[in-house]
Amino acid sequence: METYENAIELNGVCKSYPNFRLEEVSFNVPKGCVMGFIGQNGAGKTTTLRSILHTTNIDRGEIRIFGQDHIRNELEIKKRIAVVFDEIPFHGNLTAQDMNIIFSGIYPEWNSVTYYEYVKFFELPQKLKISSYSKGMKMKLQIACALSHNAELLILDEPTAGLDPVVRDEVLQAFMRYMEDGERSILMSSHITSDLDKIADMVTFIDCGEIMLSERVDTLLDRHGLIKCAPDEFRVLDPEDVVDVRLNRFGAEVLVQDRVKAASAMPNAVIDRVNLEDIMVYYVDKRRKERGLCIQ
Amino acid sequence: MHPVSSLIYREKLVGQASRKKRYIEYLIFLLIYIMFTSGINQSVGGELLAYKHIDGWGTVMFFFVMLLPLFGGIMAAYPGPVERTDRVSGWTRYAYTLPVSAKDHAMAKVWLTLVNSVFYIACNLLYTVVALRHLDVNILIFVINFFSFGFVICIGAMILAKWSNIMARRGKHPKIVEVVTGILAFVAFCLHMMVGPMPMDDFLWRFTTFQTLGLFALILPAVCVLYYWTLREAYMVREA
Repeated sequence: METYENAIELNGVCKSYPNFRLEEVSFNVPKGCVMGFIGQNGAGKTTTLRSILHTTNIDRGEIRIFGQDHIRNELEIKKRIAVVFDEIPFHGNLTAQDMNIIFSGIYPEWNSVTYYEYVKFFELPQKLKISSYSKGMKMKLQIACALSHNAELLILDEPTAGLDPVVRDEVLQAFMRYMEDGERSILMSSHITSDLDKIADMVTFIDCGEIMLSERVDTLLDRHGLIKCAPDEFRVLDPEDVVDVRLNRFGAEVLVQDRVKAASAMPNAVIDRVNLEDIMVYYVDKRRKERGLCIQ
Repeated sequence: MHPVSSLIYREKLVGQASRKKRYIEYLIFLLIYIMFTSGINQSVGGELLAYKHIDGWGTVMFFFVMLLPLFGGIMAAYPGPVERTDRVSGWTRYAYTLPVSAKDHAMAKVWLTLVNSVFYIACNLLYTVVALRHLDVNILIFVINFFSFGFVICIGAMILAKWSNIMARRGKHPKIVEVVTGILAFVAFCLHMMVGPMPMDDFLWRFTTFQTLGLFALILPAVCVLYYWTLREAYMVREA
């Protein structure tokens, strides 16, 4: 495998639609990293992924995959990536065996042995038509196809959405197995932040077409903290440090960006650890308040 | 296996059900047509076709010979509902993520059209052989020309539809295609008027000539190349 620092690099990517736009989206997916891509519905996750995959054209900016321009070297890049969408894009008339024949001609590095290993691992019937598969089986088949041509980069758009916990776990196991050699990378958009808690090394958070955060998960979780205090107590905190405040009849819940700084301002306060979901929800709330969309 | 072979294999499987249905429909249509046309007045058929010595079942057969290749040509070129099902299933978008060039995508579609033509050509040839036993005239050239005519009409319509789609995806108004089509139709009409009015029997008569055969020998490859180029352009255009 050739050397490159980042599997994906986005610099100032802009894309406008009549009712939505991506604004100066920039982030990197380092080689060997699982990047979670989170945000609420309509935040711009799918548009960003489509821009990376060049299924849509961008208005401005630059996208590099394996250090190469994503349009100029499109075919070369696409031999080395695998894509999983939230809905299976294979016709219901086909079978798992058919998919093996089809992809063996499309991907130069297609490996039928690996493919049938995944088909066996996921307990997929080989001769049954895809139309008779359950939702979970369809997703597993798509993942089996994605993991069988030695791709260096996996791009996943909500791969675990709508799946039951057992299937989600199987799918995540397959991704972890895929990442074992340390040379491969994953960009995975998901609503299910608990899945990302298990698998992601880094997370990028997008809201209203703008990147809010992009950093290592452990740093992000260590840095942020949730303070539960009386309604007025949090006023001693540096306003720059406060992400958002939720008031209820028992007091206030305050998400802070820098728990060390907050601890020095409020030495007696208990600062709880947060998870990705807390961070996402508080940041979205903050943005909604800024835009005057909150319910008082 | 080459990517083109893979795409052809996939599309063959995906379109299998609809293709079988169309083949059966085509055969049923032919049977119905035989029954329907068996009552046609022989003199009407004779005058229309300028083959006054053909009568009875010969007239019926001649009508049959005329329509069989026309519809055969149209159906050979028509890709069926595969494109729509691909769009609905998400394959159209997914295909952009595969390491397959626009050239290969287009080539696969053109090959499939040519392969699909084999069934319809075989039907026409078979019928021509049968018909030749009952008719005194050689209808082979007529059949080839009418098949080509149907094929060209259908491919032409698909090329226009594709360009309309390409323009829309490029953010240009699809009306441009309609305007260009209108201009071309107008030019064709003017040429036709310059040559002189053409009665129906004269029009049909021209399909029996070697000149028309030669003309189609030039037009068919050109239309296939244009179809390939249009498909390639369509694959190169991404979503707005």
